[in-house]
Amino acid sequence: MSEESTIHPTIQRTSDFSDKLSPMLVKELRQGLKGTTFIILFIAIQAILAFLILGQSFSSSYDNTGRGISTSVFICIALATCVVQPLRAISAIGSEVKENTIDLMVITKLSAWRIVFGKWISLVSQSALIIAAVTPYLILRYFFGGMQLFTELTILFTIFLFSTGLTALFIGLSSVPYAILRGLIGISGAFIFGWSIIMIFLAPFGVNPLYELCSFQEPESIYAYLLLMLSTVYIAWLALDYAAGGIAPISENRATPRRLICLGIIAILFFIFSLSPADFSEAAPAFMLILAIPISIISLTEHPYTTPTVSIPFIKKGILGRISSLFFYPGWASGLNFVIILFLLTLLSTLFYEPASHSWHNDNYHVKMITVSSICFSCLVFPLLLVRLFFKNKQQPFVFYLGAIISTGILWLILVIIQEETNSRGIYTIFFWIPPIQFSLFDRGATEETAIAIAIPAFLIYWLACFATSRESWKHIRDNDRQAKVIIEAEQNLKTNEQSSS
Amino acid sequence: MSAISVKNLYRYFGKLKAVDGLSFEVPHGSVCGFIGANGAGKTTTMRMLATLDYPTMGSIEICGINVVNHPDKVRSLLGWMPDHFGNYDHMTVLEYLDFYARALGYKGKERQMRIQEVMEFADLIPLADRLSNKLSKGMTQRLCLGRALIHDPQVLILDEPAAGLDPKARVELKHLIRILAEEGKTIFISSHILSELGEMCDSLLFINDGRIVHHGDADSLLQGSDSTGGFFYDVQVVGDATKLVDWAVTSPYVEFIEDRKRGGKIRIDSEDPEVAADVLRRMVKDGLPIIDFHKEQRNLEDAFIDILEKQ
Repeated sequence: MSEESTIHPTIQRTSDFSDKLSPMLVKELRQGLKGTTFIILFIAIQAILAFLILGQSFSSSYDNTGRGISTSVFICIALATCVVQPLRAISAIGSEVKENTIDLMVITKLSAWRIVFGKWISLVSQSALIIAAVTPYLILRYFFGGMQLFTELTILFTIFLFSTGLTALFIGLSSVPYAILRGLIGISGAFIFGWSIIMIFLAPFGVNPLYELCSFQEPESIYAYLLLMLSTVYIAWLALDYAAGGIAPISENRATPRRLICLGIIAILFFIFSLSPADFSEAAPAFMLILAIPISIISLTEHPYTTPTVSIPFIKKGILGRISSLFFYPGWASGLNFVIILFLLTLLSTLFYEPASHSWHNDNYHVKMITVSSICFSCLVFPLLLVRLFFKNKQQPFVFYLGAIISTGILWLILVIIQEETNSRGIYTIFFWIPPIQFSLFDRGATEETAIAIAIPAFLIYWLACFATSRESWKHIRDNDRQAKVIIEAEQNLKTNEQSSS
Repeated sequence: MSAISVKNLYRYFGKLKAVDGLSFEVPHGSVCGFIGANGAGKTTTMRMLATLDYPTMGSIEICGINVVNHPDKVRSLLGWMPDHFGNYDHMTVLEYLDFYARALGYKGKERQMRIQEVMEFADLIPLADRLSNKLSKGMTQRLCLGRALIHDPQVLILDEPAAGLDPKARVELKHLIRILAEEGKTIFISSHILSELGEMCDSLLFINDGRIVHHGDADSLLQGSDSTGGFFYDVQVVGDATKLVDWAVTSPYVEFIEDRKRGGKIRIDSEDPEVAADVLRRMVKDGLPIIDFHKEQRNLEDAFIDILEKQ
């Protein structure tokens, strides 16, 4: 009582949020809920929906009114939560870095992950608030009849799920150091998402499969939805982890848990495919690539320098630790080895599906899948080779890697246009060493045997070339190992001395 | 054990050597001024001390803990005030401090007590409901100092805290730093206002091109930078400045200082009255019309420039 009386009444107001909530969430909610964007979005969505429902209720065709209201509600919610809310995240980390406030945060007890997660959860909470606020319109829609309650609630949940994933993706993007690059990717992405949302809900080819998926009437739709959830959660986590990696100190090992969790998620993927119907398993390599590509990009662009303390857990595990460090130690050098694991797992995923012998369209399914997987992995390793050859000492490997990917893509497009204009296959043959060109080359009539004979060696050559440039990074890692051994010995000596003195 | 111990510290940005082999120690409870021109490597060094950047080579220990290997442990021991930073939109002073108190792990009444303590110390209670991004520079610096003190750190690293402040705000800030020093905190502070640093610091660390050029107290700097013992004579002359320049070049102990509209100024780099008298006698004899001369004590700026020139 006496303590309470000594606290200034103004300061007592700080108990408006519970201590159990994350400090970042409290901060972001205090700021976000007072933000102009949120207030305008919140009011605008109410006004638009009220106007649309009023308009729909005067519609001459009463049968379609219910579906029309659902579509209006879904489009509004999806645009608000999958376009506007993620766009608000585009400068989440970048603005903190620019304003120098990120430094003030990282020197508190907040870990990099808690900072990033707090920002994400705050935006997700605001999205949930927006969705909760439009629930009355869905109740109103119920009175117009023809409502598939379970399906429409599942669609609402799916929109929310995508919103959480996209928000995370934009938070990940916000840690890219170049504002112009962030802006370009963000605005293009938002435009594509916005357009896709409108198409999905307004075009029959979009809305019907969505209703089928969310009604769970087919057994495949359950597995498809499970995989959709798994992929969204995985991409969201990876994007947030990437953003956290950008602000974490170099003594923090984020790479090892990231790669291990990725392998865990791949194990879940394999488990789902082992249970799923045979036809559905055809998609296993595609889902495997969805999981493998983002983690490969992150692993191949990790900063090579760490502190000796990172080596300590590896050293303490002896020979097992030394072997695991080849694949799980932070930095692009071990990331390159980790990519080989992902490549092999992608090849393994093709075995879930065994096409029927009479199935003409699935002829040589395994060869095709192995070829496509090899080219995809070549597309990931080739930009690293360019970075290693031309931008070796740059501070931002991710940006240069991204630049190399975009440049390769542009070159591919130019070559495709030239080929279309000249109708000559020779240009693909000359440039077959550019990985995406291999897709076009094989699309233009190369036999499956030729395709696989080029794709796998090409991937291995790029991989070996990158490996050859990793000597310096491995030297740094082994130096860290040596220093870690000294630290471990010093700690042991200290313990021994303490025990003997006590 | 020193509060801050830096050994053979290097930091390269590509080919640029921002910090080039710094080694120094700051004892517990002392105030150390960190001085250097823009681009000398001050902020880079301070950011490494604050665990926000990492050295290319060398080691830094805060209270015996390595900042690179154990940044989390070090962070609980130090308070950091950067040279420039932004404040948050839609956030009051109270909410700002509350966020950092929460982020530092304080809960319930303890959190409110910590906030109250720093708000009282930095006189922020009247500003509690003001938006943090609408404060004056002086108020912002007080808020930032308050934030840096929430967890009652042993070591404070303050990068240019007085930059851009008006004289009143500067005096207030200096007063707060003095109180903190009296409380026994180790303070590592950089500033361009050398005279103020001289008054409040136990030692001064001069840095140029990433290298230490002097480390000692203000008196040793004033006395040790040349043979004058900290004093010199300034002599002002009217007439042709060119003649004065030519005369100064050939005269011992004399240095031409300033070209003025009608005349110039020379400095006699000696505090010996005999030397000064001899120079003045020769000036009169050579027809240089003296209109003013006086004895002056060297200030830190002069000493700093001397050191740089010697480099």
